[in-house]
Amino acid sequence: MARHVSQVPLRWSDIDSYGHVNNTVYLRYMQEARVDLLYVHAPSCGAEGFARGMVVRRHEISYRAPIRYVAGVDRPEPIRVETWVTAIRAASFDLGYEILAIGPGGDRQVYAVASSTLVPYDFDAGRPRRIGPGERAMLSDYVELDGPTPSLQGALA
Amino acid sequence: MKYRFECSVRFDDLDSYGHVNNAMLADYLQDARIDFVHRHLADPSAPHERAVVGHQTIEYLRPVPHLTAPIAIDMWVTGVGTSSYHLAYEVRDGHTLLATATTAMVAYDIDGAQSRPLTDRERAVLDRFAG
Repeated sequence: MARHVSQVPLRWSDIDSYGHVNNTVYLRYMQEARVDLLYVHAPSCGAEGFARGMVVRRHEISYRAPIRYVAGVDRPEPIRVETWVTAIRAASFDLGYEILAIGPGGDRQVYAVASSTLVPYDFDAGRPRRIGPGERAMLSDYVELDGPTPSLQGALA
Repeated sequence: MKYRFECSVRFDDLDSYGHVNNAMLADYLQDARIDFVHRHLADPSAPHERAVVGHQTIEYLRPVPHLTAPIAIDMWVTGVGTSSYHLAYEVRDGHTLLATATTAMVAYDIDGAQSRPLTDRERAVLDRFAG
């Protein structure tokens, strides 16, 4: 199964006073990738409904390495966000993410591993809704069950 | 002892769905944490001794609308390691619980760009805010 790949441009304002991308901005990179997959890509694959409404139920993220942005020295390429599906339920599903850069030699510098639980939402009715057959088929194309998952391990000492 | 931070919701925190965007919750948690750190934890004589976020979970329980009154963020310490500490958060509008969260913070030497052991002073402060 394939992962969805998004290239998300960095902004100067993503950097905090420590000189690296602030932790909150990683969630925005995930959001850009998710919107690209579910609102831009999915409608061309028979899953039109996601773009009408989606809410986040949960995020979990492990920060593995700082992302730096030094103007004029090593202005970074857009950050790469790989997204895949880890669970599909009646009215919610889970995504996995890696935020990374791929070096000239093909090496993967992983900055973060994350997961989200997402709920398709009917804003007119004000309630969650079930996942339709076309949406389920589209999500199924991105299922990966043995990918990396965020965990406390490595953040503890 | 819990630490309470009153957090303003700005109009431009809302997204096209008319509620606060999910990513903003991480900003609110950060504002609470920074306020706590600068009032209680950080040693003004050691500005290089800081911490970075190693791991974070956020549970979104209810949408946050635009509010003119601040929301309340209660934060407390759930664990202290050699060079890390753990925080839990509850975000409320009045009595309504909007979100819960956890962060694992890694004590970090900004100058040396590496993790560092927590100081005795930090441990004493973190113990006071244990939940």
